[in-house]
Amino acid sequence: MDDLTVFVDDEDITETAALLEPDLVYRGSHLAASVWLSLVGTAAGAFAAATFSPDIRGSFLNFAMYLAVAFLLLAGLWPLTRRLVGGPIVWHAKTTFFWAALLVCVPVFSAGFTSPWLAYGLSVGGGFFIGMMVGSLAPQCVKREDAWMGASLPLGMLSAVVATFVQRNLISEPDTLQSAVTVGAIAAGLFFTPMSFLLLRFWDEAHGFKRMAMLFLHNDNFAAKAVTYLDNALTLAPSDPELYTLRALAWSKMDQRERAAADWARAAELAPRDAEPHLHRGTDHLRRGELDQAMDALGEALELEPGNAAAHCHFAAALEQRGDRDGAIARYEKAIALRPDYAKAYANRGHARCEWGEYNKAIDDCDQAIELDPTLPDAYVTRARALAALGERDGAAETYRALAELRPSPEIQQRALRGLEALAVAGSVAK
Amino acid sequence: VNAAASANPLGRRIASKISLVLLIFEGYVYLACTVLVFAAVVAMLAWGVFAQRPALGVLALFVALPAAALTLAAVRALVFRVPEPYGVEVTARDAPALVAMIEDVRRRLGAPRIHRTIIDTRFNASICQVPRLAIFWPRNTLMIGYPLLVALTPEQLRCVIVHELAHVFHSHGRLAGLVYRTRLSWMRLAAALDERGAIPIHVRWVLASYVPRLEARSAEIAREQEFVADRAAAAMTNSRTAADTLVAIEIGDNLVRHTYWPGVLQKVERQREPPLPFAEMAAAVDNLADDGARAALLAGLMQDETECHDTHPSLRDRLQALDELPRVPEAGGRKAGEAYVGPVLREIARRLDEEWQARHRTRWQQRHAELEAAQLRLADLEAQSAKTAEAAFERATLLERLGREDDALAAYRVAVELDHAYGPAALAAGRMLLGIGDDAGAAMVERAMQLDHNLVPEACALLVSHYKDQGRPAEAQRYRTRATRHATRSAIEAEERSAAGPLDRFAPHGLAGRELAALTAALGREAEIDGALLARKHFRHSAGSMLVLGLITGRVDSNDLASRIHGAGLLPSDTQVVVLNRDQRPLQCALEAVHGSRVYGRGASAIVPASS
Repeated sequence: MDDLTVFVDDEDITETAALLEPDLVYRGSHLAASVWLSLVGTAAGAFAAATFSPDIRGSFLNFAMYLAVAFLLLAGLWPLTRRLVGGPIVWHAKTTFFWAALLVCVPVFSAGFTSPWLAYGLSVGGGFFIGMMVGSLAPQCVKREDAWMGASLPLGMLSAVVATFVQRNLISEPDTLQSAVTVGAIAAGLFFTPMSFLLLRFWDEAHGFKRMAMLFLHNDNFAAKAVTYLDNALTLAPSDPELYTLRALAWSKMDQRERAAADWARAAELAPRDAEPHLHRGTDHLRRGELDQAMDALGEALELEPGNAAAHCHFAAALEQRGDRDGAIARYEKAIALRPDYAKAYANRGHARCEWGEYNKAIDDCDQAIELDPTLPDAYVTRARALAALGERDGAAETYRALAELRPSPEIQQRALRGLEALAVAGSVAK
Repeated sequence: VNAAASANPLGRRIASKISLVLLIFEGYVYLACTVLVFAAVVAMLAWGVFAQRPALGVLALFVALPAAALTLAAVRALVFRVPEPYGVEVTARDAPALVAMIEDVRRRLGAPRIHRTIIDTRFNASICQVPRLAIFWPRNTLMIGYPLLVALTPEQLRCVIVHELAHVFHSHGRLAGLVYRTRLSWMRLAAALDERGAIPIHVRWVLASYVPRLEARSAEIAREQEFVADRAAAAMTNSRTAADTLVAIEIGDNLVRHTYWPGVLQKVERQREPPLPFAEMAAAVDNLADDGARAALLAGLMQDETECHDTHPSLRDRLQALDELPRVPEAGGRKAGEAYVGPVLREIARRLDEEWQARHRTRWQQRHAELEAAQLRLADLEAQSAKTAEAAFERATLLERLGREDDALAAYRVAVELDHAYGPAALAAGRMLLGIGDDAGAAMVERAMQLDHNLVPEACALLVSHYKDQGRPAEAQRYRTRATRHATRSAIEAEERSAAGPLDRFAPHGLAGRELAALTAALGREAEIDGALLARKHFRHSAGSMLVLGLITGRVDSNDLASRIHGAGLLPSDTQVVVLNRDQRPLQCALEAVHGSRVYGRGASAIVPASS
């Protein structure tokens, strides 16, 4: 699950949601959409390869016909897609067209090299790049992003190499339009046909809704929108504990405590061996300062998963708020031992040390946290506080300013501004 | 004049001018490059088609026409004429003494000919050099503000004329004109490109980096030129007169701007027809402030500092350069207009008044009518015996509109007293208190937000501004966050109420049989409609629900169908009527899944009451 404590501002969320929402709900035939995307990819490959064919420039008539076909294809493909398989597929068709055209450039340029090492090397490199790009831009509705990437990478290389092989060895007249179209169609078809059927296999609308909800959970103002998507996701996947956990978080952000508790209970019931629901419940209690409930929930999480660094870290934070300094430090150290790159544990330990007046150690911890995660706002706040306590007001002000530039959540931003105000009042910071 | 000019080392002045000329040249190079880039794109696309380059040909298919239109727009934006200055022209026949004085000064300075002298409305004078042909063959127009004629003494006006003609003598106007033209070219280009939503990144870069640099450099040189012109004025009159003139202009401008014009505008409450501000100015100008107030004003003006974008140095710097102390010039005495223009001055004032009245008459009369209505309503309210918070609030609003701010504040307080839960009154009272620097206003504004959450945007804006002014950014940030939260949540609620989508929560419509029958009859009269789905959408983000009517139609062009059905008045006004075309297939599926949603189907016994 994403780190939902990372803040995304209202404008960014609104813009991203406006891009993603229209394509999220698809009520057409998945099979038809997959077949259509495969055809679009193959056609795009053939078209891109034709663009590089010398035959196109053989006569003005050929060129004019090519332009006419290009116009029909580029201006007519999207309305045709909308009409045949539905509006939500248009964006997929556009990206498929783009990457297919780019993929075909690889064998076309590789063919220009006489050295087979260079030609195939270029094909492998170019195919890898296209595969990586397509793999990393999995559609929202794809449930298994790892499988998507796992298929895309080798397919990108394979299709580019096969097309280069066909171009070099099996085609007698590589300069003709027919040859170019064949090579283009082979390259793009080899890549996009299996990818389209992978899309069909892993198409999961509930997963798309969950990803959308997770976007909204990065900002409390959008928690209600997250609930909308999670409600719909739960209609499609009513026994997915992660969806209940997320919806509980959303309810909690909306101050609907009873609904949140019910969803956490349901999540725990569906996944009795999973620590995540307890961890999130504990974190939420901690956020509200309900230390007993937080420690109970986090204790349950640790019983189920004793090696969960996040649970140890949050448990330590609860101990710290209770005033148990040694217990808290020991827990933070346990979390760090379990996950040495866990920036939040360092930042929290720094906070504990700062609270107990160990300012230099606190600064070291915060520096370590910032090195591991330069966008972790808590580390900056604690560092600035510790520096101010040591009388290094310029350094503190600099840290607060660095924090403000990270565009943190409004609460953290306000803490930074209050810190700066306090330093200004102290009188030694030149504004 | 030359002696005065040489006080500023010649080499430095020449270097400054050259650097500014180079900067202007740089601007024109960027402009030429920008237009060339546009033209090159079009040329490349055209070449791509003629040379049968497939990729360029495809690109040309889609972007050649917009690119050509953009190029044409850029070129058209850069071809313009600087407009001639506007005002009442005076000739030797109208004002022989004024023209003779100008000619005398010109001859003494050795300045180029003045082609036109016009009187305008500003408390200022300037020289405008408009080229007749491209940037060559300038036509020099001397513009003298009417307020100068009625406020300055003859000697002070002569000093002003010397100052302005010294600018022409040193060709300051041409350089200023070039800067103006360059800047205007960029602004016009940016506006033309922005209109088409196509400002390329390099144009943005030039606007962000070059234009401010040009403005700062030209302002710096303009300030140097002001010192040169001041010294010329001091050399031809004397430094005391030059200093007194500067002070008289600064004080006069301030008084006319902040005292005289507000007084003129206040007459709108009493007069239906706009007044004659220029005819009345001559008598009023000496009585705008007493000596004490003028001295206080001068002390304030002497505190002003020169900023890097100022084209004129501050009064303090100018007096320092003249080596004179500030003093308030004596009011009264014979005025320049009387001495140099004579009886024609009245005619000039009449023409300026006519032009001013023509420009402002409609708005003036509208405002007068508004205020008259406000007065009547105020009288009504004051006659009423019933004392409600709403009435007190309305009375306070009217008082504020009439400019009676103290009374308005008291009335807002009365409204708050009458109803402690009346948010708008608390907000208005808080706003007025903050306006007069009373911190108690912040608590009232805060309370207003708690009472009525629709007031959050306005209240937060007030508090952000208040805490920013107080140097408390954290508090300002708190209210900015609150405003953002309110805006986001309101947008989510509004979006939910204004549209229907497949993820909404739908339930049976719950309409009674009679209402449904009327609706299906209306649907049956529309030949385009093949079927209709009706369901009730329950809001998620706010309380309540609304009806959603989905119209199934085979026609592509059915834009006004929804409004026709809506206009039939058979459904509640907040009903969403959606034409279910191919893009709305998910919504259609969601509606179809609701029990009893299919309320109409052409050629079928379609009505299935939801209650069944």
